[in-house]
Amino acid sequence: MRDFALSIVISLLYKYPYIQTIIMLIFNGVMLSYLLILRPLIDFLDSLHQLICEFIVFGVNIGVLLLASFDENGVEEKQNRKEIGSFLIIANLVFNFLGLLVMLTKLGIFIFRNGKRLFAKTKKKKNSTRRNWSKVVFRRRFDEK
Amino acid sequence: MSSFLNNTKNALSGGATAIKIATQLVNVVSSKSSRGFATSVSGKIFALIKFLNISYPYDLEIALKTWNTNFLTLGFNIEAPEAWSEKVNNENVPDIFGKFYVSSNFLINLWSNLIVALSLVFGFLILYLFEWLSKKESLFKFRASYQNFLWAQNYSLYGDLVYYTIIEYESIHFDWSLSFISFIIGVVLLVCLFGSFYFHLRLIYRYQQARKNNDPEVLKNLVRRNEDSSVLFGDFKDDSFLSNLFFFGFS
Repeated sequence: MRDFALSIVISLLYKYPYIQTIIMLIFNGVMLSYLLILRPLIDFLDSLHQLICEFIVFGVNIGVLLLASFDENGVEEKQNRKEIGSFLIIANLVFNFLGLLVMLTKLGIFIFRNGKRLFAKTKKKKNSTRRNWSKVVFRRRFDEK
Repeated sequence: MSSFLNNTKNALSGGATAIKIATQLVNVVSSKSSRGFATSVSGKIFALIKFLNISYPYDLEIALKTWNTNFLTLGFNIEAPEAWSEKVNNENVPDIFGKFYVSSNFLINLWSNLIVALSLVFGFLILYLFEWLSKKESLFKFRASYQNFLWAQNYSLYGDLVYYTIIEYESIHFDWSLSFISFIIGVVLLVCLFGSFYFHLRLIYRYQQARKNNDPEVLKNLVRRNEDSSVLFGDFKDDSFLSNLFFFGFS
């Protein structure tokens, strides 16, 4: 629904960037409140990931709103614009890294939780192969006798 | 502050290719779960801000050109036939979209996504046919997880679908047959979109009704019958209608 609403705002209100950025910030605020009040996700790590992502997007929206307000008021603010631009680029990189980090953390947790069981299974399999092998050896010896 | 931002940006930009690969990887893995999918949709904001009519600093302007809205095709771009692009009249496309080579034709804009989506739907139909013929439980499980994956992928398409449909309606020229076909396909897909919204809301409403009636048998049956759409209501707390709507709201 958010993607749907954002697309409508971007494609219909393109003549009013300042209003667009305000609406985008409102959407983001609603989503953040929803996450903080209702806490809909069961898994803690997922909740934390989603919340951090929303805060990053919130920062991005504030940055874009500042740029739009500079344009609206006809202010040059070259240095500030450059800094906001750098912030947005870093936010994008951090956002992408974060996804990868969460995925690796989940993988680590999975291995930590199930490692013993997986290891035990492998060990059991190895033992069973040895037992089978010894049976074969024993049978051969027995047959030879 | 400025030098800190620049140093951080330069340090991180060094691994830009690695990040791109990482992003695609995360998208592939996360699209199978509704939670990961929601974060991918949150990240779409980075691609959408380029369509805001704002004077961006030069560095950001360059970066924005590489941030795409599309994560269904995993970064691979399948171009629409060149002859189509040449015939389409892009005069009425607003400059802010034209700058990023957005066409007035819905089919040309969404070509990559449509090809991938159609292949996925085709794969689903084949699976469904096999399941119907063999009636095996294992095939049902496989088809159910594939269908959940398909739901997530379709939801990722909806934003672009609405965006490109509106641009087409704003700048359409009915002087060529493809424009008409494109218009009809756009309308059909929009109807499918609203149909899926209706299905989603109805499913959650029925789930909540069953939960409120405190009848575990009815709830169990509902969950079992909709195992192939569990991505729409599973994974989240079901104590209220709103918290159960997470996937609907965040997609």
